[in-house]
Amino acid sequence: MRRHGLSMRSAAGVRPTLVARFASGCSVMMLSLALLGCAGNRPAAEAPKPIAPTDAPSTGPGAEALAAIDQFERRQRERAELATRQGRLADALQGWDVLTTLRPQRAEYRTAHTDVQKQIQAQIAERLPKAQAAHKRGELDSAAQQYMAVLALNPEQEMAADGLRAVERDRNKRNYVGKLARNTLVRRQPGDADTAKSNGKAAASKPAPKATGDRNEVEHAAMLAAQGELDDAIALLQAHLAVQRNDVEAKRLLADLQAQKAERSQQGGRDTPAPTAGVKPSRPAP
Amino acid sequence: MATMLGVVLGAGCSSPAPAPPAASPTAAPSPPAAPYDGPEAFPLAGGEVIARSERLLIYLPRAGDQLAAVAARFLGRADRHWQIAEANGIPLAQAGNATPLVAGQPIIVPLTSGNSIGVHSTAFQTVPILCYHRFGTGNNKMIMAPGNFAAQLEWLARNNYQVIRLSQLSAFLAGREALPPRSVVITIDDGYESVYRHAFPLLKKHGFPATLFVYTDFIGSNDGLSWAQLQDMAGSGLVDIQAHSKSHRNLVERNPGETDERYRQNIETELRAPRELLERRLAQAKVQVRHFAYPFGDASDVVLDAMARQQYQLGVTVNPGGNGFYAQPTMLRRTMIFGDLDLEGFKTKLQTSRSLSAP
Repeated sequence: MRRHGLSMRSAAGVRPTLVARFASGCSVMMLSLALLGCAGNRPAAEAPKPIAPTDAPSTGPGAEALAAIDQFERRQRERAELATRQGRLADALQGWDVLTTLRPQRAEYRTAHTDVQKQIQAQIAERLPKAQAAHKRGELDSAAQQYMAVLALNPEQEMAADGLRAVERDRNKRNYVGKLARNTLVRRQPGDADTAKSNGKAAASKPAPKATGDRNEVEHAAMLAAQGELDDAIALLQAHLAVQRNDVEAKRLLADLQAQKAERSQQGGRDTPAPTAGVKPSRPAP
Repeated sequence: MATMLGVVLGAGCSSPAPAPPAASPTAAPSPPAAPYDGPEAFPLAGGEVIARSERLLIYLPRAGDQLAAVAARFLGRADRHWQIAEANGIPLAQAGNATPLVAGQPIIVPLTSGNSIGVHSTAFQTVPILCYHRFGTGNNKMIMAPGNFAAQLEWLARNNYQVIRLSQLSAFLAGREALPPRSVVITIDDGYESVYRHAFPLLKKHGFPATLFVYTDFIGSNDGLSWAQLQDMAGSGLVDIQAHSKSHRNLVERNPGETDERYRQNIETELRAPRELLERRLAQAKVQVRHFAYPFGDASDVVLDAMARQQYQLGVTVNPGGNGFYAQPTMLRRTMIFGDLDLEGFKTKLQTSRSLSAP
């Protein structure tokens, strides 16, 4: 009886063409069982509006397909319930969305769908103002995490998406966007000259790149440095200057990088960027 | 009789009187099926729609249906098959164009791009933009050996990475269009002749698009590409030629003796001149220059203002990291691929998702 009940429910919301084929293969007994399995009397006017059979194939599934639909429904339900229990509300909502689409008449699905929607709305109402407040205070990492938490609940939450975009602009301004004209070195520390010399020796002890006189080498050295490859950048500039001794830009960059390396040595870490004004090597990964 | 049974089954098997669900099962018309846009031909998907709402439909495949054919029928584009795979938990490795579907087993077809920004419950999508410079041999990290580049592209192809065009990022960043998981962008800076000799044949072999950022003073020089080579690559439809300035100067550095006013004018020229020249000389390939790679990877407020005036849509730096949907379009991050990077190192550079806790 239970099995028949499940099978019969499978047809709810299913296209008339499929139902028709199923019905044509059913006996009067089946119809009776279906009616017995129904929970209540409802006027036919409340039935789901059938979907227009605009692309009906000439042949199609029968009872086997209905069993497969039952299985599909069970799997979706298990997933939706699990996601709901685990608090993965966006996933849960998707699951209940599938189930309310499959069975628009099932009140329990609609209720679960609505409950999850309400939970999402409540959590967003709590988190979004926190994100905005953190952003106003300039706490960019905290703001970004709160905005992202909102989007994990609802990826279509435009205010959170725009908030996160604004955080990224502020981060870029803070970390990367250069000033108008950075011409000179700053923050030289006492003893830098000696340290720079020793750094130069360290770089020179590695296999030196072949000097090519490539006009783009200064930029390439800056890019190497920006990715934290300070020794390679220094070695490339030294090789470049061996060929093009009067390249002022290369000399200046080399001095910048050596000073920066000295600062890092003093700080005891390779990955801490030094805020020299000339270049911005070793930019922090996001 | 049959219709009546349908009505009875539909109406009788739930208890209280139904409020209309959030998404009406009949509201959304089927998106018009577009012609297949890939080189492959798929048999038409001929299964049945068993339920539909505004956001999704549930489809019962028939024997022989393929994922791409279902995508073509309902989403209008075969190459959006990954969206169906994702909605049904089909692993990406199994979600190729020709993935066969089990006949009679229902699948979910998402009709709207409800998550076009790629944020999920535990992680969000990031798009790495790989940055190359020169190809050949040499004891220099900025030179990529052709064999290594070939191995990298082969690995991308074999592991279901989707090499997309840089221009595709615009809609993703605006939250308008989702990108496939494992999306990666390839860019090449400067305009060395070795790009044509070594990289272009490999890109063609795999059908991978790439963006080539050239600074126009370099074109026709000893090491630089010629106009004919640029024309050939642009005409292939695979290589998008974009701007990397006119002279390759560091745009955030003011030259000695350069006044503020003169500096601003020069920056404007560095952005305008390459766009005009590339569009004029490569008009046959209908090149439109809307993307810019900052020399030295550096930008400033002055440069960003000029970018807006010159109508550039995307700007790439060398700030490391992938790009989430929230990335600033004119400050995109890039991942440098150095010549001494082995394949294991290359794999670590391909970060296509990040934990939600670290946006």
